[in-house]
Amino acid sequence: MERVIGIDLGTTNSCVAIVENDKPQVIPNRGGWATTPSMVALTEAGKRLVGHIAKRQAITNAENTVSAAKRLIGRKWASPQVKNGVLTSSYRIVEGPHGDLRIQLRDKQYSVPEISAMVLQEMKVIAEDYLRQPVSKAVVTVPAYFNDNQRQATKDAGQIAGLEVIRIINEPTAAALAYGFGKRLDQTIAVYDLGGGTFDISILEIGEGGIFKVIATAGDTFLGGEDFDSRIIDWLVTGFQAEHSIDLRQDRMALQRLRDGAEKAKCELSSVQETELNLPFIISSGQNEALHLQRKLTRETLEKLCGDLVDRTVDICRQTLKDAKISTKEIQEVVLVGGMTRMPKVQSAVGGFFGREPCKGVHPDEVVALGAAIQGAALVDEKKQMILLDVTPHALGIMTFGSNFEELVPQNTTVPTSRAKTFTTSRDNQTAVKIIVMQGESELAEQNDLLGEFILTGLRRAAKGQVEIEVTFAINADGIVSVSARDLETGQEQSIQVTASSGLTPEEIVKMMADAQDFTVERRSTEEFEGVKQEAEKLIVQIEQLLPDVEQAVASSDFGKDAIGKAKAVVERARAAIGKKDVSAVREQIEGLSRTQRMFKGVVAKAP
Amino acid sequence: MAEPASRTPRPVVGRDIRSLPLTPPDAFLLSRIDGSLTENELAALTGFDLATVTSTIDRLARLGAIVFDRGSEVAQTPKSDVGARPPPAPLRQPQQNLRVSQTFRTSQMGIKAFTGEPADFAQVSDLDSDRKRKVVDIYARLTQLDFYALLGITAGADRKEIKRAYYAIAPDYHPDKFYGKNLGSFKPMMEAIFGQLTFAYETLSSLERRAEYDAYLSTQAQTRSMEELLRSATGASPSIDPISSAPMSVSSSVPPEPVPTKSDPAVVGASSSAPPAARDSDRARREALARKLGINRGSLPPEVRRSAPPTDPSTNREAAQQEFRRRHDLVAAEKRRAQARRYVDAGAAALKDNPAAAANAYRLALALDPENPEIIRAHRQATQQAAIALADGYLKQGDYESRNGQWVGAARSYARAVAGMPEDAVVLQKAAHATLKAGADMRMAAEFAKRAVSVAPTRLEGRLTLIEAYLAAGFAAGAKRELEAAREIAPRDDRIVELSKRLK
Repeated sequence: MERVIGIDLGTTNSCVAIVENDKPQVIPNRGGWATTPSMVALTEAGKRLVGHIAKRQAITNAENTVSAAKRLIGRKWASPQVKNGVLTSSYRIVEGPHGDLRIQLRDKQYSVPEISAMVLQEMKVIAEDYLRQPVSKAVVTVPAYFNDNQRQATKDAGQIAGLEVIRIINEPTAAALAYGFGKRLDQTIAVYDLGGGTFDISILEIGEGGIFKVIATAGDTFLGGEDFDSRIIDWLVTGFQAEHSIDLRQDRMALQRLRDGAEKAKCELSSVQETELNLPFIISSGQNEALHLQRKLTRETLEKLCGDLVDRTVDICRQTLKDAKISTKEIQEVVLVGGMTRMPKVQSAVGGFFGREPCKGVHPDEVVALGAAIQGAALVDEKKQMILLDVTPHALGIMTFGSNFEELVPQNTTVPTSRAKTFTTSRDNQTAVKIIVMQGESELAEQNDLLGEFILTGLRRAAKGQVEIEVTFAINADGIVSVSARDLETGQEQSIQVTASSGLTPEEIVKMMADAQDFTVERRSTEEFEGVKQEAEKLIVQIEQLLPDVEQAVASSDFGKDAIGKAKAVVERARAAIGKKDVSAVREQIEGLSRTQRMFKGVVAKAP
Repeated sequence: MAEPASRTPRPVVGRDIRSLPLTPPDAFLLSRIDGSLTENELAALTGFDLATVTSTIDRLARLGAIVFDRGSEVAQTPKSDVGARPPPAPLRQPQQNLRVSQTFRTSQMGIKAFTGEPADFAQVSDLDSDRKRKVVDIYARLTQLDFYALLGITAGADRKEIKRAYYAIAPDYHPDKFYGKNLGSFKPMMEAIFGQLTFAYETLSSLERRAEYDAYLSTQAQTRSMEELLRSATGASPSIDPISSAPMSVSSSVPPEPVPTKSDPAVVGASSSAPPAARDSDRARREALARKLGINRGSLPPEVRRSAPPTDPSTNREAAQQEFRRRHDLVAAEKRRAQARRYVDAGAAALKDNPAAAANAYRLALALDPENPEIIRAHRQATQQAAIALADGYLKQGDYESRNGQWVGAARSYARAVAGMPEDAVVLQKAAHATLKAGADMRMAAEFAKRAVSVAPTRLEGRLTLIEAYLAAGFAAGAKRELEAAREIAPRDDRIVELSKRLK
C-alpha cells in the first residue's frame, strides 16, 4: 500500500508525520528535530538551502533568505497583506505577471508556491530517508481560514515538489483528529490554534465510530506569533531610535537579528519572568564604530505589548460560538495548538473564556502533522474507521446586479453539498448573463475573493426579471467547487468547475515541476553519490596501480588474460556509472571492483 | 405495503406516454388514473375485471407511467395528531419493504423521478450490490422522506438520539469511505444522500430550525390527513350501513377466518354479513377518529359493547327469542340514535378547526341515523367546508413550494387546490403557472389557464399565463387569439409586447 505522509506546512516551522503500525508519529529531520524551519535561502554560489541550515545563515544572507512565505501564498500583488509584506520583509517582493507576486532571490524570481515547494520537498526527503522508500502522496494542512486561492496555491506547491496532495485539511481539524485518534469519544471540542502566522478556532463534534464533524470554523490569517514578535521589534526599534536616532529597520541585517532576538525572548518569557535581549554590534554608528543593543524585557511588558492580540483571538472565539449558537458550557474540551499557546497569557485568556483548563495532552508543534498523517492513512486504508466531515470555511455565491454578493453556500456548510437558487435578468432584452463566482462573507462583492466566472448565453429576449436562471453550486468531498447555471425556460445550461487560481498557469507549474525535479536529482546525488563515487574511485586507482604487475605475472596463461579483460571491463562500467551519476549503478560496480582489487592483490603477493 | 386492490395509482407528471409500448386498453385505463381512484374503483369505472386492472397497473408502474400514493398508509398517523409515531426503520438496516417499494415509490415530489438502476450498475465493482441497491433506493426517495424518516428516528427524538442516528448513517454515504474507489454514477448519488442527511441533521439539531421544519411537516401532514378523512367521508354513501360498507379491498385481503358465527354475539346482533376482520378495521378507524375527537372509550358505537344475548340452547324458545330480539332492536336503535347525536356534537365541535374530521363525524352519524335530514344537511355542509380547507392547505403548500423553486411539487399542490376551489381564477392561474414552470404537462397547464380565463375573462394574469402555455405547447394560433384578447384588456402592457415578440 502506498504510504501517505502528513505535512504541516507552517508559517515558521514545518513538520512531517506518518502512521506506522496504527500509530501516528512525527518523522525527525536529519538533525533530529521534529520540526524544520519553513525557510529557504539561495547562497552566493547559487546553492539552495532549506530548513535549519537556511535559518542559520539568515543573518548574513538576509536579502536572499525567505521566511514566512505562507503569509504571501495565494495572494494578489495588490492586496494589503502583500503591500505590508513588501515593507517588512528582509527579502524582496516584486510584482508577478498575473497580478500575483514573485520573490527575488539573487538574479532569479520565484513564485510563492515555488518557495513553499522547496520546503515541501525537504519534508518529502526527510520522510523518504526515514521510510527508505519513495513517497509521492501527502495530506497537507492549511489554516482553516485559507480561501480557495490559497488552498490551490498550496496544492500547486505540492505538485511542484513532486507530491500529489491528496487532500488539503484545516490545521485545527487535523489537531482534533490527532487529539481524538484512538479514543472512543463523544464530545464537542474547541481547537484554539495560534501558530506562527495565523489564528484559527474550530468547533468540532467527535462521535463514536471515529467521526469528526466540524461545526464551525473561523480565524484570522494575519494574526500569529510573528505579530507578537513584531510588537517586540517595534518596542526595541523605538527604544533604540530614542537613544541613538538610528532606525534599525533600514538595515536588513539588523532587522533579521532583531527578529531572531525577539522570537527568542518571547519564547523564554513563557517560562521565566524576565529576559535580556543582547544584540552586540547591531549597526554601525557611522564613525567606524558599532552600536550594541541590550535591553531587559519582562513578561509583564510583553503581555502589555501584545495584550490586544490575545484579546482579538478571544473575540473571534466569542463570535464563532455565537454564530454556531453554541455556549461555552457545551464545549467539553479545549485543545491548544501552535507554539504561541505556550504563552501563559494566551493559556489564561483561553481558559478564562471557555471556563475550563485547556487540554495539555497534545504537543502543540506536532499535533497538526500527526492529524494530517491520520487523515492520509484513513483515506487510503480501508480498515481505518475514521471519517472527517469538514466544512467550507467561507461562504460561496455569485455577484448580482449592483455589485452585491448573493450567498448560495453559507459559511460552515458540511461538504459535500449542493445548493441552488433562482435568479433573473437585470436588464431588458438581456440575452446573456455572466456568472461571477465569489467567496467571502461581505455583502459587497468587491470585498470578496473572485473564484471564477462564466457566461450563460442564448437567453430569450425579455423584459428584465422575466427570464429565470437557476444557479447551482456543488462542492465535492475534495473541496472542488462546480457551478452551473440553467435557463429554466429553455433548459440551456452552462457550467464550470471552479479552479481557484494560485497565481500560476498550468504551464508554469509544469515547468517549475521540472526545475524542482532536476534539483532533487542533483542534490540527492551529491550527497549519496559523492560517497559511492569516492569508494569506487579509490578501488579503481588501486586496481590500475596493480594492473602492470598483474599483467606481468599472469600474461602467459589464457586464464590470466581473461581475468585481466574482465577487470578492465569492470573498471569501464564503474567509470560509466560514475559519469552518469547513477548512484545505484555505481554501488553495483563497487562489489566487482573490490573483488577484482582483492584478486589483484593476491596475484601480486604470490608473484615471485 | 398495501394490498394490491387498494392501491391508488397516480400518473407520473411529465412522462412521455407515447414512447411507451402500450395497448389501447392500457392507455384507456391510464387515462382514467387520476391519483384518487383505487384499483377497485378503476375496475368498476372501466368495466375491466380486477385482475386485469391489477396486472395492467403493475405493468404501467414498471414502465414508469404511474406511481402509487401513500394513500394506503393512513395507519401512520401524522405526528401532529398523536405524540410520537413509531420509529421508521433506520436506513442502515435495509428492510425487505424498502426493496419492494423501490419500483413503485418514485419521488413523490417528482423532482428526481428516478425509476431504474443507473446504466453502470453492473460496472461499478467497488460497491457490493446490496449497497448499490440501497443507494439507488434511498436516492429515489430522497425528497419524499421526511427528515425523521431519513435519519430513522422518531419525531420526539432528542438531540442525542438525532446525533447518534446521523453519526451512524452518514459515514456510509460519505465518499471518503470509498476513497480511490470507482463509484461511477453512484458517487453523485451518495453525495446527494449525504448532503440531505447532513441537512436533516443540522435542521433537527437546531431548536429554531427544527421548530420551523416541524411546522411545515405538520401543515403537510394536516392536508394529507384531511384528505384521507375527506376521502372516507365523501367515499361512503350515507344510506349504507357503515359495517357493510367496509372497503372491499380490506375484506378481500383477509383470509376468511373460521369464526363460529353463533358464538359471536356481536355478529348476530348486528346481523352483518361482512367478515369480522373487515368490521374490526372499520372499528379501528372509528376508534381512532373517536380518540381524535376526544370521545372516550366508553362511548364507542353500541355494537362494540353490546352485551351477549342468551345463547343457551336449553332456553331457546321461539317466542321468548322473538320478544327478546324486538326489545333488543329497540334498545339498539335508541342507542344508535344516541351515538349518532354524539357524533353530530363531535362534528359540530370540530367543524371550525378541522372540517374534515367534522365531515367524517357527520358521515358516521349519518350511517347510524341515515334518515335524519338535519344530519344530511350538516354532512353536506361540512364536506364542502372540508374541501375548501383542504384546498386552502394545498394552496399554502403550493405557495411555499413555488417560493422555494420546487415547481413540480407546487404544480401538484396547486392542482389539488384547484380541485377544492374550481372557480378561483387566482388559484387556477397559479396552477397553470406552476405546471408550466415544472416543465410538466403543457396541455394541463393550458387547461388550467383556460379555466382561469373563463372564470375571470377580464383578468390579465390569467390570459398571459394562457398565452405562455400556448407558446410552450407550440400552439401559435391559440396564443395569437389570446394575445388579441389580452390587448383589449391592457393594450400597453409590457408583457403583452414581450409575448407578441416571442410569438414572431
